[in-house]
Amino acid sequence: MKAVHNTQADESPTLAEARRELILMAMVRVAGDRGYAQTTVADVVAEAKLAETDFNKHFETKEECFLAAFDMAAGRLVERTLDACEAGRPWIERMRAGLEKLVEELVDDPASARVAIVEAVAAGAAARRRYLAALERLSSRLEPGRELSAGRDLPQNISLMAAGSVSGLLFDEIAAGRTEALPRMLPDLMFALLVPFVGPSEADGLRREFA
Amino acid sequence: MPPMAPTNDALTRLSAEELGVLFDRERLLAGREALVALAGDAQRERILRAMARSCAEHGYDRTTVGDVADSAGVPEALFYELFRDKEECFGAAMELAMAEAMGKVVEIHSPDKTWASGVREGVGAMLEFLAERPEFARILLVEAPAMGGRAYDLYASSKRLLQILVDRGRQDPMETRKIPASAGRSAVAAAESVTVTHILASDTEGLRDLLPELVYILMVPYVGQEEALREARTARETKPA
Repeated sequence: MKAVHNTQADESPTLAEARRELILMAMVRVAGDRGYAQTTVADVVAEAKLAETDFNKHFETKEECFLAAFDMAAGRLVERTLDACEAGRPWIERMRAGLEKLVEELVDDPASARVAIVEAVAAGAAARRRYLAALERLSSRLEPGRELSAGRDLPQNISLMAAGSVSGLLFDEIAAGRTEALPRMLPDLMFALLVPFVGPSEADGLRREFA
Repeated sequence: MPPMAPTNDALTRLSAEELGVLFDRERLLAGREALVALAGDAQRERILRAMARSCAEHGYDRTTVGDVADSAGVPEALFYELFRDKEECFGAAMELAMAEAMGKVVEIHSPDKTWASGVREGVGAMLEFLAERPEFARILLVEAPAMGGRAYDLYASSKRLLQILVDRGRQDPMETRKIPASAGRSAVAAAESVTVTHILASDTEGLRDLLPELVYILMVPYVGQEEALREARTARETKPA
């Protein structure tokens, strides 16, 4: 973290940190509402009810601020999804729980949903790298699914691809403004996630259990 | 047990006219004539390729008209004779890149081809194109999705076209199970995620090596694991050295 030299008592490191957080939350709300391209630093500062100098203490550019806001929004989504599919139950049960939790979180916070899944693609290469890194983290939970395929030699990147198929469907829905209706997509998300590991017949059966 | 040959794969075949209709509907261009028209004269084409290179290296936002003119070896004044601004030039570079990429789909297309060989060869040609043209790979799959306007529309249209072609797998009469309507979209998104990972890592050889995996992920919803793995092996064995 950058050192901030404070001369005034009200700019303690804790306060500076709190202001940084306010800026990130404002970035999520603004970019989540009008999109990254339409977002300006002035909008974010106004939304956070802070001064532009506060922004400049923490971030050099809009992109740098967006990347930190993405990390916050996507990090929380990934953590909560991973928590929901903790070990202990059969893999398919964990996948179902993870998907349900992910969709619940997205519906509860549409601005974070748009930042983490749609605007990450709109913000260019650096954001896209982080987006793919978040997918890789989720992919680690998919790896045990290989054991369900009766010894077949499945592709090396199968987990990343399965996670990518789910995020692709989520992208389409959120970009079209249908975040609220995401729970209706759960059967399709379940099919997309599982079909590489168990094949279409079984994935279709599991999809129907959702409907 | 030997793999069963499909009894009738006619439904999965696509005539040149049907493919043309799909291209028209999505306002996509391909073929030699389109490429010549989009590239324009030698100087214009140099500028378009310089624009793609510069965006691939620094990203669209950090690319300046000055950089592009320098890289193309033309005076900045000439740039402005040909293009209103950076955005218009990027749109034109994107049109050219997309027409070349889509040209690969048209080149391998034949109404006599089955769906499976179409997917295998189409994905192979596309990966080869992305590996040979890293600057185009980056603008097609990283910069364009981040843009608005014509560049984004082109990206979205090409994706829809590929989804439609992949989704013809469901018309195989051997396939009687129910497949969700979103299967083509999710399969193409899966392929895109791993492809973009390699493009961002500038891993050209890794891109070519993705062929069997992409064949598997695009086919598995339609033909099942056994058959998709068999197609992936065929793709690996017939891949150009």
